[in-house]
Amino acid sequence: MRTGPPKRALQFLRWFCREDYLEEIEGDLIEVFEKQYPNSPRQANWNFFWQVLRHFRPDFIRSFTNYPIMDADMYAHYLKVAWRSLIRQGRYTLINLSGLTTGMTCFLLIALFIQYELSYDRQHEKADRIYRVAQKQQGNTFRGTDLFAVTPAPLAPALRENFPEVESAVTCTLEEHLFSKEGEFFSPRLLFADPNLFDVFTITMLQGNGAKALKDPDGILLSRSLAEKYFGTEEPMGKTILMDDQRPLIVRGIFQDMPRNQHFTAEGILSIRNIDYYEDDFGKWASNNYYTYLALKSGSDYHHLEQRMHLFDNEIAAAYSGLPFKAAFFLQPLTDIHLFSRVNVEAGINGYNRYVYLLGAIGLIILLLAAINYMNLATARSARRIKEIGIRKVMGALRSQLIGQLLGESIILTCLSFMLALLLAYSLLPNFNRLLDQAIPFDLVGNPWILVSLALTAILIGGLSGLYPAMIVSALSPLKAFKGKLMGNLRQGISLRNVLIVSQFTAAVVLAVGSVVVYQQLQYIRNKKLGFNKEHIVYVPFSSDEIAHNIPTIRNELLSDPKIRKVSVSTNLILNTGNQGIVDAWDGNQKERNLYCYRYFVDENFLDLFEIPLVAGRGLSTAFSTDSTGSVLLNESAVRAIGWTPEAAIGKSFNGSHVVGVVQDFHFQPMDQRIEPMCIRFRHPNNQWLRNGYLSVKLEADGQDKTLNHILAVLKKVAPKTPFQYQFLDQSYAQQYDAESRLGRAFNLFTFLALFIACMGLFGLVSYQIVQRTRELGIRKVLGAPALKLVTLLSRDFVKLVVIALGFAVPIAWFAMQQWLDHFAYRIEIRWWVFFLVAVPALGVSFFTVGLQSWLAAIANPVESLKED
Amino acid sequence: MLPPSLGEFEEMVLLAVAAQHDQAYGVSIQEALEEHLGKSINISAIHVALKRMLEKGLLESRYGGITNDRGGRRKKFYVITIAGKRALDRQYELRTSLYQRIPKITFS
Repeated sequence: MRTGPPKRALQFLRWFCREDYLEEIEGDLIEVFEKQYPNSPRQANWNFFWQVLRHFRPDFIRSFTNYPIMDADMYAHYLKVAWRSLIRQGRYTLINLSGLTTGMTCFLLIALFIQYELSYDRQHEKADRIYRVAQKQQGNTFRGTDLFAVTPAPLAPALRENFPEVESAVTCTLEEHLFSKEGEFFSPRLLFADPNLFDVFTITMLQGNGAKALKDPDGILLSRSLAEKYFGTEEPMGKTILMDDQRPLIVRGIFQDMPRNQHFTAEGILSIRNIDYYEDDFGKWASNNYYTYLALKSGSDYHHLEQRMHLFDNEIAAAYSGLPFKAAFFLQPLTDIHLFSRVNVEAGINGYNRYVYLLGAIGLIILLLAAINYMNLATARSARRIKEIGIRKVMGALRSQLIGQLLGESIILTCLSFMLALLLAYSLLPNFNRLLDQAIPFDLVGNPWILVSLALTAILIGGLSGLYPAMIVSALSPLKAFKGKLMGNLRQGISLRNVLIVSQFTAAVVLAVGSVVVYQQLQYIRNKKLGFNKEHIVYVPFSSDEIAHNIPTIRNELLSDPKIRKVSVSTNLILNTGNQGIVDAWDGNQKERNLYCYRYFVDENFLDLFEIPLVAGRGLSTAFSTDSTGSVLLNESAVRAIGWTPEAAIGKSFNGSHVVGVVQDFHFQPMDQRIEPMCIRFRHPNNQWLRNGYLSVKLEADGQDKTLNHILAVLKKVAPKTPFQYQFLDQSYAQQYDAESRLGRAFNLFTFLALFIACMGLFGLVSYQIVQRTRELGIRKVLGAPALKLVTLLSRDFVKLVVIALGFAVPIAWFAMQQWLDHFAYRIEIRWWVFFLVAVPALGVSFFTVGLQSWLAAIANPVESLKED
Repeated sequence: MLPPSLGEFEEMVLLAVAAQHDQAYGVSIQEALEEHLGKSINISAIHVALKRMLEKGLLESRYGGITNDRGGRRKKFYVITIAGKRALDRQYELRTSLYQRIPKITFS
């Protein structure tokens, strides 16, 4: 028996080798093989392999790009034919491309948004090993969580001392302070920190040495923009500026403006020793007034450190002795803070991971919709190319060439639409930023994954939508192709397309239901009875002795304006009190039970101004001398928590005071929190000063501009050096739901786009179908079918699909929205008519889309359609 | 125009081709060189050298007839061209002229 050389090696050689060299090389190799084989078959085999591999070099490798039959002319021809078919079916091309481009643009914008959200705090060199120390105070739930971002002053030094893996630790805090220059006021956010700040965070100094400057309590570092605002073109270094009009500080350095994607930002940095209470706090474990950040040595495990922080348990326990909660420290990775941290006393406004996921999901859905759409139309359209393919086959085109042609055409188209999407996204980004109130940069180069994944998606969409027709059409025998029918395959195509249409509409309807529910919930929150009247109220936060000492004067001057109806002063804004205490003594309870109770300190006009009704007893008043020391109002929740009735509560003792009245529950916290126990105490305006507080003014509904000026003028007279900013209460209330409103707006926009894309798909498909059936329609008309019947015939199938999609969408949407609503303490129920509200327009639009097309087809003169053959 | 350059291995292959006038093909060249040089030579190296010299115009090639050996593949025979012969001559002259300049040295 004659044995040949190893097959695989031979195949490989034949695959890569230049045709004109192949015979010679193959022959020589086989000759050598045959000579060696009788001596040692094994060696001969191996040698053959080795020799083949040795030939795998540029001299012998054929050119894979240059098929003898696939030369440049052929490509030019393909392009020309592709262009012609695009133009000939111009309308479908337009629908198809615009749908895909819209989808990809949305996806790009959302991807940019998510990238931005994920980029928070990553600009610090040590970002992956910086942690914030936070505290869990078990049993002390405040605004829905028992986690607090603040820590005591001795923590950072203790961490450095006790744990070798702590590379550096910084104690810092943020405050707003006032700087003035020639009548202009700035109140920038300042970071008070110890010099270790620069060992933990990366802050780029443009001038001066940051760490050195922080050692000197008289120095300050300014951000470049603040320095420019304050000093203009002058050289700021070494100049003195006055903080709060009393504290001179020397500018010791300029740092680059902090990027907006940090969980906190500041415009100035100065030594923490400028904080009044820092000296007192130093060494006190009960002073939770500071943020502590630490950088660990690379490679250390923060969970391990977290466990060993029990070391401080004794100090904390001693500090909180007498308080009914247990506290323990834990660490938060810096890069998780923006999206995942939900703790009290955050340093800034954080993002919300759920919204990021949600938008991401929407982005994917829209991309999917657009992709489905594109594939749907592209496959439908390809049926028109059958004759062309048939001719090509007759002329001897290989199947691989046909697939290559159709696939390439499709991929080029999707790539084109990808380019368009890039352009669109770039030009729409500023609007998108305005919508979401963000400063997202158009940064595709920094993180190549967006671009790469989208480009891959484009190629994949092009590939998939090209592959299906390419495979089927190219497999036909030319004879069948000329008959112009794809009998068996057409059915298959239709059922696949039906599935695609159903899933597309399902997604669009789910989004639509979602946006309606989000809108309703937001409206509900906005219009829910708060328990107080927030209309036509202006408030001015103040933090000034001058104001505090002159409240009666201010009130009188303000009330001299007939447009001002009421004036009141309180420690806390009615919308959101941050003041909570623990009460453990009331009638019938001596330290057995604890009541966490929010507090307000107010004057006698508070209830009146906010129109808070009393359920029992009386309000607070200057008329009762005991009110300033021994009277308290409770809300219904507090009374209920203790176990009294409102009437029975009057006269009872509560935390050393007597309950004189019970107010109806009102919402003093955002709607995602239940109304909790709260008490109101009295501060006499003449002698019990509130240095920090809010001046609330109730206005008449009309002529408010003048009145506002009047208020500012009065305040200016009393405290000329303090800048004041007034805000409308209802606007501030709305601001609390900014994140939700933004979500709502984004949701609406993307829902609209999703529906748009879905309808466009339907439109394209229907009009295509009708063109296909023109002749059939003509014959039906000739035989006497009425136009209406034709319309029904054409639209029935499509409308059926939309109905099926609704059937899928309703439960999905219901479930998803229940999940979202569950995080609101006060929420709407999803009503059946919401689905109706969405279903009717969805059906309507699709019916209109289908109906219009079919109507136009049905009323056409049959002569036109029949004369073609 | 400068005459085409000739590497040392190429020169060897060219010499072998010239020596086996009209009967030189890959394996025969390999065997001749292995015999003369006393070391094993890779056939891919010979193929590369042959192709390059073909491009430089030092060689010409033709196919032989089909036989039952070599899995039915034809041999490709190489013949030296005039340019090839000249290149060899030049190389030979160069070497001898340089060689003759060597003074009489005795190594003892």
